[in-house]
Amino acid sequence: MIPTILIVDDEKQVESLFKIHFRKETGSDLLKILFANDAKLALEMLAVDKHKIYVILSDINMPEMNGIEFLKIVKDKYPNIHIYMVSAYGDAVTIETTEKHGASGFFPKPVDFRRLKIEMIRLLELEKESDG
Amino acid sequence: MSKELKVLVIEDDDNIRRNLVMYLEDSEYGVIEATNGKSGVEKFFNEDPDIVVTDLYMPEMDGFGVIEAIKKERPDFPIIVSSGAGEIGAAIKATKLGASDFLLKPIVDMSIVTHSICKAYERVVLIKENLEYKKGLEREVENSSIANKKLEESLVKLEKSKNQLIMQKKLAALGAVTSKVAHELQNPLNFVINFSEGLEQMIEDLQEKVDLLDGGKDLNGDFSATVEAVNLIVENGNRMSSIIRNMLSHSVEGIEKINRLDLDLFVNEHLDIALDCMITNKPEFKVNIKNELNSNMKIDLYPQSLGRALNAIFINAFGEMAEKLKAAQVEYTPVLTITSSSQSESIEIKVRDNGNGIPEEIRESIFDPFFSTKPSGISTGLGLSVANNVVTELHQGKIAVLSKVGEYSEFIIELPQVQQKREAL
Repeated sequence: MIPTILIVDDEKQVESLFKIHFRKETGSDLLKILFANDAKLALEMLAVDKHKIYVILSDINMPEMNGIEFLKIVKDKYPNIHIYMVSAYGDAVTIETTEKHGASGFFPKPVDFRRLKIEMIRLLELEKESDG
Repeated sequence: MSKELKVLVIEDDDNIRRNLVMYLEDSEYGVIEATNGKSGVEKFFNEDPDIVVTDLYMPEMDGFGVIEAIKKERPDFPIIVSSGAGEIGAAIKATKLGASDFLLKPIVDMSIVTHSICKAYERVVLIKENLEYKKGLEREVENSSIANKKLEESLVKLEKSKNQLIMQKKLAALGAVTSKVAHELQNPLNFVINFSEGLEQMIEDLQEKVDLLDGGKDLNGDFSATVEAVNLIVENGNRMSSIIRNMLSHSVEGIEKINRLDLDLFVNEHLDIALDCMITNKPEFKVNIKNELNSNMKIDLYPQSLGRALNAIFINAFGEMAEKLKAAQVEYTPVLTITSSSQSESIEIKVRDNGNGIPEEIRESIFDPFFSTKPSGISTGLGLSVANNVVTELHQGKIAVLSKVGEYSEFIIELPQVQQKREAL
């Protein structure tokens, strides 16, 4: 099964953005990327768990359930999944809050895709090691 | 009239004097006698009479001398002169010198004497009352003018604190608007940047593929031009992004509360923040900090706003010195000297850099909004104008700048130690 990243963001354009930036990785079946436009949908997708989701990248400011609430639930139900928060509001308090609730990291918008990709590949290697 | 009223009788003629004295004593006056002007004046000063009756022509000192000696010390003192019928001219002269009345000798009807004494004394009392009344009036005028002055002062204070409050609200409103606009712009801008970066990558990938094809090399020029264009989009996007971030950092959200804080610690903290910020952006920049923060004072301040003001001044100083360092032909070490001292009711902070200095012709403009000598990606031109507002309007302090081109710039900030608590309008 292909290792999968789940992106949670209410902005639909984010999907195109990740598709473009991870074109090579997804084209060569190194990674698979899934999208959810809200946190509830993301939780449903996690519950089904037919994909091998090892990383979640979640926006913080979203209608209905926000990223912090989502983060808490994910860490409670799926403690092994790495979850990264993404937001334009990268103030110290926000970052601290996400770390307190178990986020593996924080990416301010605009996302530095080079850094993001390096982090995703690094996790992938770790995953392989623990699998093997 | 009672015995309390003392009459000094000065008369060299024993008969006349005794007559007068007896009559006055019978009329229940206290009486002091003197037989000539000189002893009269002595008794006047020793025994403190209420009224003087004096003859005009006497040995040793005459009546005119008596009048002059008394009037010199007590201009309003009642003096009655007695003179013979042939001495009308002298009587008039005595009146001119300040005598209250004159009695014609021989005094046939003694009641004229008491009448004259009463009249003279009443006049003195009236003068005295008048004077007191006048003094009272003056006091009242003075009091009411003090009250008026106080009223004026509190009006000025009120006006000041109203202006301060308006400024605070303006800053807050401006902050809210800039913050909203900035956040709203940042979002689509993030997409512009991220999509352009993706596009850049895609073009490079495409070029690799085309290179493998026959004749692909012909397209090299097109590809590099496209990559360059996309690169410029990214670069400009990042520039816009940093302007927005800068604007956000200058906006105050909400209305701030006054905090009483240790000034030196506060300034130091913000110096560290500005240093961190500078080192992150320009790791090669080294600055020698001369820390002379010696105010040892706690003062009232608006921490968020004043923090921004200080930050803007520090960043400006670092920027000046970085520019000089970049262009330096000879060895140059950036030095930032920061001083604080307490005055009687205020404190003074001085921030001095040894950068390029500020040319005279732009010295007045540096506090204008959007004025900047640096490219817009680096500076919004808002920093010093916000600093000016924060210091002068919000804190009711003063800000000034001294500079010598090629040598230094020094920002001098004066802040009151105590801020008036103000109530919301």
